[in-house]
Amino acid sequence: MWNSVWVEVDKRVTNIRAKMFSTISGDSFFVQLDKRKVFPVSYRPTTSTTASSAKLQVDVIVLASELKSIRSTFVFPEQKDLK
Amino acid sequence: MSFPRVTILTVTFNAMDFLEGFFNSIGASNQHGLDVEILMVDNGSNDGSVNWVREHCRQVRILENDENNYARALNLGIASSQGDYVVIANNDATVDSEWLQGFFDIFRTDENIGAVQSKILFSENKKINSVGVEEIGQFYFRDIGFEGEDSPRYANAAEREYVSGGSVMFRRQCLEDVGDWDEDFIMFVEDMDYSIRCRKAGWKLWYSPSSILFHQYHGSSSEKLCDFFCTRNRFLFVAKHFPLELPSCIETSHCYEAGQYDLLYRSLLHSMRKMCTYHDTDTDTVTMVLRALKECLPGYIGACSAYTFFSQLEVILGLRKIRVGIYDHAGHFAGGGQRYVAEMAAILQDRYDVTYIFNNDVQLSDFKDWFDIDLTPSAMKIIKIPFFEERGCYTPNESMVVNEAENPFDIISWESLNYDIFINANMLGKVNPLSAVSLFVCHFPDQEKENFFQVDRYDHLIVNSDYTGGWVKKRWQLNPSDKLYPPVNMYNPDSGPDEKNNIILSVSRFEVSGSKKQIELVRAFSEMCVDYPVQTRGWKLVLVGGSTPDNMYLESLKEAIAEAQCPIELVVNAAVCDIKEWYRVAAVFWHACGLDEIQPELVEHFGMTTVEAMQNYCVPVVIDGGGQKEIVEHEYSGYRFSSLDDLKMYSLTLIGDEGRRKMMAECAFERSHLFSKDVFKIKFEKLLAQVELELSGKDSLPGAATNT
Repeated sequence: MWNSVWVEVDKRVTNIRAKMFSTISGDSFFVQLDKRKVFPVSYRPTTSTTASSAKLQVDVIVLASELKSIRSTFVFPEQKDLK
Repeated sequence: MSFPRVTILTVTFNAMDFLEGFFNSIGASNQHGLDVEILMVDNGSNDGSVNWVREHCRQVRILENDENNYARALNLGIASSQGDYVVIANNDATVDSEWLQGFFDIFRTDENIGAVQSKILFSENKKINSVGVEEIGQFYFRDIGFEGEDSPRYANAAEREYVSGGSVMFRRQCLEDVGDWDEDFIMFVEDMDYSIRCRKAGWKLWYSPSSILFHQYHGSSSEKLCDFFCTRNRFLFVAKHFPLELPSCIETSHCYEAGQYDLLYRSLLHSMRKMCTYHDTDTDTVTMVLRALKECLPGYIGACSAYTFFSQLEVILGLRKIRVGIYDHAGHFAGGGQRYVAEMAAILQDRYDVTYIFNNDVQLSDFKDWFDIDLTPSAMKIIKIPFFEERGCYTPNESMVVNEAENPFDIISWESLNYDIFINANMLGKVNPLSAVSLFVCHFPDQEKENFFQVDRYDHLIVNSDYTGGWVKKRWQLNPSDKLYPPVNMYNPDSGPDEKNNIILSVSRFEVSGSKKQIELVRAFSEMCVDYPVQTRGWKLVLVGGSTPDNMYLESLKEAIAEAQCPIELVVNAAVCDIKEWYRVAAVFWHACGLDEIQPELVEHFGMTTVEAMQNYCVPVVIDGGGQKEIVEHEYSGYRFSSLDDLKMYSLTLIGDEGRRKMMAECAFERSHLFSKDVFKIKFEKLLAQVELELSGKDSLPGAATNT
């Protein structure tokens, strides 16, 4: 079991998850690896469970307009809708 | 001649009971002609199983996943594997001696076969668990042969549309073609998703009767967990592969049938996000699905929830900024509660579109004058409530709403629908929040739980102290979700423990009711001066506070001071800069609000002025009640008293012992940081991160496991 360790990683290796890092001038930078975030070199995260990182594959303008249009059609005449 | 390399990959989570049997059976199996590596990806076990494997199964390579996500663990394992073939297998199982060889019986027949599933039998009765998977309509899946006898019917190899991830070998080329497993599934149905992706990529899926695994069904995961993920992931599967069918899946979903509308709502949000971010989906398809949902969703989950759904989707897809509505029905008062929420708003307006909602005329620029907080980047709106207007009430008073058929505050509820986050800032408990996420800020539960009580509908119930939180539990039977001490910022770089005069200071509003107990303080100081004239010589009591005009209590206080005939100074409605100066020069601070009170609302719920004093090295001697108990550590960062005799005794101790006073002043100063504006900001931002997570539609997942 490791706690944390300083390792020197080639800058081109982009697939290691780091807890924190600081850039050093030159061709290398230092990464502090979390013991639970040590991934093999070939690992590339795919889809993410968080919304922000997933990239939209559809036309954003059309989508925004459609959603706005849909919302504008809602009417709430009844008090019971509140319940 | 080189042997085919095979990686056996298994994902574990607290699987201690199974691993010995599982790995032993693999060790005993026929590996002739194969170069086998075993990989175990652990999803955060805490049962000691990882160490056990490390000690007892040296041939097993262990990887540790950073979250309990089965699909992610598979990606991690596959990326690390060396095999030309990769077997994924549940570990609450044992394998037959020909388990590995049985896969190759099939692979040898056709190079286009990408994956082969084993015959999976129940370990206890040797009945069929799975010989492949089929869709049985409406995007529900079942294991072929499930619970049937292991008859000749299943003795022949056959092509399948779907294969179970319980025991399946993939050709490396297939895995590389299809790509990573979809981590949004987390667990369950991820194998159906992968199966269909394999077939779309042109790979065949087969079943091999000669590869056998004995499985303890649901050996390590609960029915509840299975139901949750199967329901949720069915929508995800449809959104990816059959998007136009998504609306029609609602009615046949288990969550809809069971009335689990929250799960339905979240699953649909999740699915729509997936649909919009999946590379196979086009804009026209998404538009059609949205329109179909518009037609059917109000009928399933109600008009308000449907509206919120589309609104929340805009946020999730990053189409607009988050909108926040802050409602303060008493925003025209310059009180501590208003300041508390204004500090929140100042943080919120930096990142969201914030609108302040008031019932009465007030300008956001007033907050600058009152609290030195610039809220001008926020918008504001005044909504008059007819019920109170008709009755001539300037400030809405919810205790007046008793037997009305309709809730007068519904007008505010409708307004809340316009926001993604609605903050009820001043504990008006009859406002029903309709936003996607809602926060109720409670300074004290003044009202009993009564008609139109809506506080339990909020996602977050924030209290300003443990004292308030305790009464929320008692009066409303609700558990506060968050405690946020009010932000106090009265630091003065010129203050220090050595820069003090012989002054005892009290800073409290001169309440007409006398609840701040200034007259009692005058009496206590007077008695100290009479009983201990030498010790108190040169000391004076300064009473600072705000007052309304024609305050009868203030008149009584003046009379009490006149009668006391000792050095007492009264400072009414002082400017902030003057109050700061009093804190700087005063050595001791008194606070007695709540003394001899029975009603909990009359005890100080927190006590900001005590912290202000502490931030200026002024040693607090305060009532042992309410929020003061959370601020002052008795005999360390100050004293807490229960009677005026105690107040006098502790104060005389400080007056007579300069060294002790200075030491306690340092401790008080250190303690005050806990209630500083910086700490408030950090904690509030942490809460906002949680709120954003909820708004993002990320599931609140039940406890996870791995094997199915």
